[in-house]
Amino acid sequence: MLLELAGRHPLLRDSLAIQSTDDSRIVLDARRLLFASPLDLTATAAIAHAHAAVGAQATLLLPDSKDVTAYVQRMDLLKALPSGTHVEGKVPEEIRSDRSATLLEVAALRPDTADAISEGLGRVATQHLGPRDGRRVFKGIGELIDNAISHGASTCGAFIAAQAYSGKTTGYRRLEIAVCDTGIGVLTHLRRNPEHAHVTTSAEALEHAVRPGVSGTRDTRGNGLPDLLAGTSDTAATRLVLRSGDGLLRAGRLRRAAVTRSLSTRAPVQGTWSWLRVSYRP
Amino acid sequence: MNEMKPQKRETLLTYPVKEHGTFLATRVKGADARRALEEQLTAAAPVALLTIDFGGVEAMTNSFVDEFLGKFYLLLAAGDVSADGVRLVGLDEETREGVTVCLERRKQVAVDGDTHELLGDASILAGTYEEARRLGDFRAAELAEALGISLPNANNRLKRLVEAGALYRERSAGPERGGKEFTYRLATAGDGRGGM
Repeated sequence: MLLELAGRHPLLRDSLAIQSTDDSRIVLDARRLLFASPLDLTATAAIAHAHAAVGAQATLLLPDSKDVTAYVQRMDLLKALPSGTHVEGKVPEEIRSDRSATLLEVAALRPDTADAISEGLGRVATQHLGPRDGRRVFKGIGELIDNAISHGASTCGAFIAAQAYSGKTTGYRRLEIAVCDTGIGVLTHLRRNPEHAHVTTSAEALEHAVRPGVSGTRDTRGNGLPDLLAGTSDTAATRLVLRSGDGLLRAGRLRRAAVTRSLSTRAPVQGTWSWLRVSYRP
Repeated sequence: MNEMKPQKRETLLTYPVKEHGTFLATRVKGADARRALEEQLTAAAPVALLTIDFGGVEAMTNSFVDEFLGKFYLLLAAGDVSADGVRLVGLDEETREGVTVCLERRKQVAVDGDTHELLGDASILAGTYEEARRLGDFRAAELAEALGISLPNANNRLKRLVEAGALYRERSAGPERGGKEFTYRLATAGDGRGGM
């Protein structure tokens, strides 16, 4: 299989650029990638690990752009890939400085790493967005972390990364975070609860998952994603994109206006991918 | 007012949530924090007043709060853990909002020890708790009269406040009318008198 990562935010598009190949290996072709987002990085790590778990080798073709490759390296994607991954392309020399106030490198998200990751992301959010907005945004980020830990568990694990943007080029102060797990996916999880056994597609399951009180367990829970959308901030523009199986959901919120849309795609993913972006006027 | 028995339970326990971190995200973490609290409560029993201190916590997800606090109050109401009184302190605007949302969802209440207000599903109980604070030590009939409600209604409200650790109850020293009767007081530290 070949997955092409080209342009900007290729994994947010309706359809992923996937081509079948004769063998079981996966080629992640990022040569034409113009901008690497946390989602591109974490999804790449998750895909490579999912294939490695079944004995299939992954190949990563690094971006042609030196700047993008340098960023991929700085975000520790190459360290996060499973051993045996074949990387093609020139890796530049790195001069590393501490950027813990503005980014979280690609990291394996597991119960034993979740606490340190939460603390780090809490610092990024509050330092970049200020105490009030930062704490609110953290609550949303924390729900994504909890979902991956609680529902996305698998032997391949989950991956997380985040980046704060100053807004010098876009006009918005932004924080982007992505969590990609390789677990059972939202549809299978939701159908474990007999109340939701009638849900048959991943797109439908994602729509259910952002409604209050909907959970794959029979416990009083299932408010994580609705709380995220409702509470990230009353002043931010919030975008949440979820992929699970062949389902894709886009949700947006600006002040009291909210919109959610889901669809079925041609290229399914293993597990669940979550991408959250909050934007503020400087 | 009735003369109260000398208070036997004097142990005060403060549980600093911050020891589990300043940014608290997952249900796993919430369950860990709840289990640690249960262990401390059991080891220190009998406890007159449990203070759950959120000071220094920057932010918590609603999932963490539900797993930690929502389920703790379930155990408290079921009698699986015991403390004469329970109060929450150190909440700021954000953390208080999260606690309130989670308690409302489980139709629970808790005492904010800093503001002396009830948090959570308190629409009916807030006035009852306020009156209880004014009365100090009292019987259900006295509360019913003060609020102008029936005795069964007062008893129902008092039951919920006792389950939440907002009030402490004990059998009266000498019931005047015979049968089972309780006196109530605010669940407090030290001498067991006065507001929290």
